[in-house]
Amino acid sequence: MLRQSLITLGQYFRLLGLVFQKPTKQRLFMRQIRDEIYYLGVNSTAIVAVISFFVGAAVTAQIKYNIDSPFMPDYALGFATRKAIILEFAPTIIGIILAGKIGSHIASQLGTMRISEQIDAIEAMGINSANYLILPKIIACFIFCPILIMLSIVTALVGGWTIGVNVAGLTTYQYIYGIQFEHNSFDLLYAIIKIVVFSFLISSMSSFYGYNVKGGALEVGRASTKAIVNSSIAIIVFNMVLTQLLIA
Amino acid sequence: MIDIQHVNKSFEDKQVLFDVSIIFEKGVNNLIIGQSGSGKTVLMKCLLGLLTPESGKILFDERNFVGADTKTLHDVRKEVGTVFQNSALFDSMSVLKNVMFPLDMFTEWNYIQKAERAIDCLEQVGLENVEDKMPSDLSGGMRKRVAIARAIANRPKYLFCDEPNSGLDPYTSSLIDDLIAELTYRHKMTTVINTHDMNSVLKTGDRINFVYKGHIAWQGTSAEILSSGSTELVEFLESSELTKRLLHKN
Repeated sequence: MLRQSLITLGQYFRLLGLVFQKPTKQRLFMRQIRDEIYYLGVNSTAIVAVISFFVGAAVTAQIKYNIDSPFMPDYALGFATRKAIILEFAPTIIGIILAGKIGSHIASQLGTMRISEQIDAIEAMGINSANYLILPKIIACFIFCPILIMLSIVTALVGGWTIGVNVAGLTTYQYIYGIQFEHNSFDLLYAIIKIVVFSFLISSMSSFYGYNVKGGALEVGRASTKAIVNSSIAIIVFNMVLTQLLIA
Repeated sequence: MIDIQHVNKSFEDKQVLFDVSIIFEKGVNNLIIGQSGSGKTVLMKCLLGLLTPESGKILFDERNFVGADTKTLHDVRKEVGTVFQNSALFDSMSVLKNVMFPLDMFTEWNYIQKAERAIDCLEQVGLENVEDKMPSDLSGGMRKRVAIARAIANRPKYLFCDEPNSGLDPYTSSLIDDLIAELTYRHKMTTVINTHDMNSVLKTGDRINFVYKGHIAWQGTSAEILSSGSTELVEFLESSELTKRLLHKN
């Protein structure tokens, strides 16, 4: 078990060695990054916005329920919502959602290309297929995931406002005062650092499982599942490590 | 010309190729035939550099491909066109972009030049007005033709075809054979075809190499194959009704 895990880890780093090389054609590479931003990033905006809105609303409702006390100022609801969303919900939960959405897309795309000999065709032409196929995906995730996190924070705060004003009896002024109260820019940087690390884990691990598929359609499905499960676990582990490193 | 010298290849403790030596000549159809599991595909993958032999040499016009430095590998591979068994067209690209792909990677041409070459290659394989279609919109025979067009787009010196007739009806299969043979003669390519289609063997086999359990058991031409005298080859030929009848007729 341990031996197999070490072998897999070695194969993963070996693949990364192939991925991080100079692209064959710079112009083509930029075009691929643009396409991947669209497929992986832009296509994920709707799901991120919808989930963030409702989770933001639920977080606000939970906080209201748990800290409802005459000793708590009204604006505390906005303040606590902001902290929960920026520090934990946006990077981690959205990271796990993206592991499902982007991870399955990457693993199944590369897996299908592997079993239908498309990757062999690229290799036979003398092109570094790992670099050609995987590096644009990793860079696209680096570029677009922080944008998705900003979108997630904004929509979650709007969701929180909807509940805060319509259910919890806050005024818009109180809610906005709360989310601006003791604002710390580092919180946003912290969320961005987290999502950049998570986006690397999602794109590289999913690519690893998809690129190394052997067999047929069943194995593509298995690779996709492995990509989602293992990148979600990696996100949770790295979330703890980064939290300790950045704010503990 | 491709000169294979004493190539051995194993997977863990199972040896698949035993001291294989073949010369693939320029401007003719060189066929590799044999039963499934005989080592044909492994030999083809060694030629393409997708597998590395344990020993031996593979010389592409005097340039050894086995254990070569990155530059030599890159230079040789730029001169290779490959037609895979399942066509291996890129699903996400249109037919035109598939054929333009090697030109995108290895030339500095502008879009118009690349598109003109791609359309010319598509015309050479008998396809017109399919440039904007996606591979999923094409029939098996058309996909195979697009794969051939992509393989010849960069004017390769060497053309490798892995079972180009697999999954095709006899008529389309025959057309594909004729097409590969014609392109080989016209462009003076060193063509290596991996097949077990006996019709193709008899029709286009300028040089035939019979692989049996990882060894080269017989070498000759389509004119000589029916009188080979090789027990293993006769056994293989008798598995096809067409060659069985011809053998008994002889």
